[in-house]
Amino acid sequence: MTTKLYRMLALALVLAVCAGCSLTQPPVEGAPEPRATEVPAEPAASGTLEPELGAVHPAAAQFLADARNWRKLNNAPRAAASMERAIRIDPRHPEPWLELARLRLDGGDFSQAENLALKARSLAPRDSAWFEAAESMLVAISAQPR
Amino acid sequence: MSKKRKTSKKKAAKRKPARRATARKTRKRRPARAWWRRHWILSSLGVATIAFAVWALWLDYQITARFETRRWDLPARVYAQPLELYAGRRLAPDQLVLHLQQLGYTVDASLSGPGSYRRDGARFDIFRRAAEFWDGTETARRLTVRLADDRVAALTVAGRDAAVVRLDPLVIGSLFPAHGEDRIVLGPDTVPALLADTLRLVEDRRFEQHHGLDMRAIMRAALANLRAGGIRQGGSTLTQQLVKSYFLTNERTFRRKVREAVMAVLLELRYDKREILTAYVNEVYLGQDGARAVHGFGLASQFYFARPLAELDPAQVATLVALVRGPSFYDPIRFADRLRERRDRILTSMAETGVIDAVARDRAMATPLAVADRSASEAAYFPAFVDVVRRQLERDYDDADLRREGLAIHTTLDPLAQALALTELDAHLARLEAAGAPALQGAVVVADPRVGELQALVGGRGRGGFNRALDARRQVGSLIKPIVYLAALESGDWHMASSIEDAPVEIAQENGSLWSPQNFSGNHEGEMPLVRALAESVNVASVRVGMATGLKRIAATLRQLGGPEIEQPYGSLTLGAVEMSPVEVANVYLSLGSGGLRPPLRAVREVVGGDGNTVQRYPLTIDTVADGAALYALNTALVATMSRGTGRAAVLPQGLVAAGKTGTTNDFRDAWFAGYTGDRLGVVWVGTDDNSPTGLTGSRGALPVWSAVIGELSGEPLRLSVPEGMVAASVDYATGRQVAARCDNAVTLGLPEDIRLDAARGCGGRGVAVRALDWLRDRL
Repeated sequence: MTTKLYRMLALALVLAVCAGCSLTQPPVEGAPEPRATEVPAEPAASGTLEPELGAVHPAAAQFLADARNWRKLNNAPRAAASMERAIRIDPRHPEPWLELARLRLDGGDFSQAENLALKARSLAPRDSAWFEAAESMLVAISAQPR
Repeated sequence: MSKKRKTSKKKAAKRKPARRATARKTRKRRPARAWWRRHWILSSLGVATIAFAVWALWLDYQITARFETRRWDLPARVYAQPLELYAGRRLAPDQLVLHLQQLGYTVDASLSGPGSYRRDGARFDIFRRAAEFWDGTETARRLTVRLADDRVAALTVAGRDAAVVRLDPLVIGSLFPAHGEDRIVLGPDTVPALLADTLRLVEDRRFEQHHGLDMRAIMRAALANLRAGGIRQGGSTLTQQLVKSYFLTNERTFRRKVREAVMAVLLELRYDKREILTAYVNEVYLGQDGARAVHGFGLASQFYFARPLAELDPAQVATLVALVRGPSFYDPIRFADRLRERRDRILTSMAETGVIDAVARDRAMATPLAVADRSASEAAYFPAFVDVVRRQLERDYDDADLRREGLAIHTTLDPLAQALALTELDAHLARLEAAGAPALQGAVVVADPRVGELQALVGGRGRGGFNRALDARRQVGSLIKPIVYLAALESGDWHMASSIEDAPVEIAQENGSLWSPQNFSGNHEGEMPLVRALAESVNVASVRVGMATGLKRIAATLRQLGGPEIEQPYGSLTLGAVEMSPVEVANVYLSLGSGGLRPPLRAVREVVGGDGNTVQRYPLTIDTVADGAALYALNTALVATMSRGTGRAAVLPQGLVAAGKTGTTNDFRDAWFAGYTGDRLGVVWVGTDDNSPTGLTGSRGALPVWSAVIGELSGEPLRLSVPEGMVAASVDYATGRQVAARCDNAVTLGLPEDIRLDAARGCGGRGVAVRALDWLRDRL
């Protein structure tokens, strides 16, 4: 019950953030600042910095929106392709990985769903909604009979 | 047809006995002469007609079969990944220019048509070509891209802000039948009118009127030949030329001429002019590119001008038409003057007949040939990568389908990465040879570790030939050490600050002999932490770690990461006595670089069927290949390898954190480097084809290529997030003790959180000594 609640909360947050960035902010005007991930905050060699994670890249968000439409139309290959384009643009963001995991879960491919959710979780800061969402998906997958 | 032949034979058989009977009778009385004897002219004419009809039917069968199969015999076309433009994407102005050149875009201030662009500093206006993708068609559009700080800053499409847009994908090769014919096949509607007009004008003025043969042209040619006393001039129509190219023979016999003529007439009876002209445009031989025969104007346009046929100007169209007469006689490189003269003659008659106007003629005649430099099409033709694609697809497709069904194969190749890898390898090998190295060969593999896409693959110097990236399996030397240490970490008995004794060791072999591995330096350093043993690639210490961990365990880890299966591992495995190809190494390092959740190495995204509808996708997947905590610890040590160990010579942009490892095999036979940043993985091998010593270490032979390529391509430092149960600790590189992060000799290592290290006082006494050592080593 709680996991479901968490999941919904997480999804709502994700959608809200995305909707915000794709509607209110023209993707190009004034050129979105390269995210914190693009420039290391501290000098080299440590290799252990956790970047601050914002919303997914606007161009990736556009593909994720496409992907959701394809998913509604039950066109899994097109949805997957749009998600992959989103991943290629913003591969360090957990959100498109999470979407792809969800698509595989829908399609009954539990082992890919699990691996993709693990990937999403590995990219998400521990206190973020994406982490929670990935975690609850993993719980849901582990409950599936295989 | 065969039926007719049989009946005529039967008739002949019946007549034979009758003939003998008649002969006998003649002795007795004057016979009534047989009908056929009385009318022998008529009968032989009849027989000849039947024979001719049979022959014609046979020819008709042959030519129709050829026409029909050739019409649908389409090589698969292989595309690079399209350049996707979106705000924040790394792209330097020079890179964009290079890519537009690869695509054959021309500089055009007025942006008059697709395939052109203009540049104003960091602002580019591009008239993008239309392009077919599996998920839809991108129409030709005007784009504006503004770059700043080597990134895309702003993007508009047809005047409106846009989040993302893709360019047309570069054609990087094709899979064509074994006889080496490559073609880009055009449909009747895509043959440019300018080309059709020019062809008719130059090769066959009465094409629309004749029925396969042009009697006037034949007479004219015959007269000319009589005067010259031999065959000098042909009166062939386009149809005859098409027939001739179908049967690929150059003999100039009368019999062949007649056969061609009959076939030409038959072809005209069956097909209309448009179909014949289209077939001609797709078929005619226009040049040779190594083993690849260039057939058809579509491919010739790409080959000579690196752009689609539809975009050619009159000068270029005239050049291609000029080549029809004899691609080697008019070779654009060897006989440029000859070709230019013929081109200009063609342009003149184009203007005379109104195909172009006088202004266009003058402009065209003033332009240089512009085909002598074939580097543009060479730069866009990557046989080694196409080889990988073919091998990947052979698992799923019938060979005949791959080569004939007109598939569109969309790959992961990044043309900029490929061009860079090729250039850097060539340049570095030339430098090494100039410095006294023997004749060298090399291979480079570049991939995106985040999504597992193979972006570049160089199989050797020059083009084509032996694909070393795939097929040269060489000992990997110290590239194996990260796998040895990973197996040790996974066993739970070690962490990267654990101490190991670097002192002579003897290992009993299966055959009873003793193996005593040696250090590269010949010295032993005594106790050291694992991180230093790995970073400085200390052999004896690494053998000790490996033997304590267990060879079977190491072999299993290697297999798990995507390496080869080793059934009977020996002690020498710990020093890399295992043969792998550069692509296999890339696969293993991809496992390391992806934090244990590895996207398998892929070269193909989608394959679209010849009908444009059926699509085979190769989706992104993730494999779990290693324990994330152990990998994290290993990666922190591989970062230290780059900052303090054998990877120290890498010249990378400030802040570009990388992890990597050198490899050098016995007697300096192979020089390797494999490593990754946050967004690029590279593997470089340098050696000789006969496996002779090169005198090169991995650091000197391979690392400079790696750092030049990855340093230019990568925009994202390696970031290692700390998994649960682990901590990032500052550790003295020389002693393995805990020190403050500000100390010169501190390295950041991933350690299990329950490990308590001895704390050094201050920065530890050996800091200065280590620095002095570093200083000394840098100068040796």
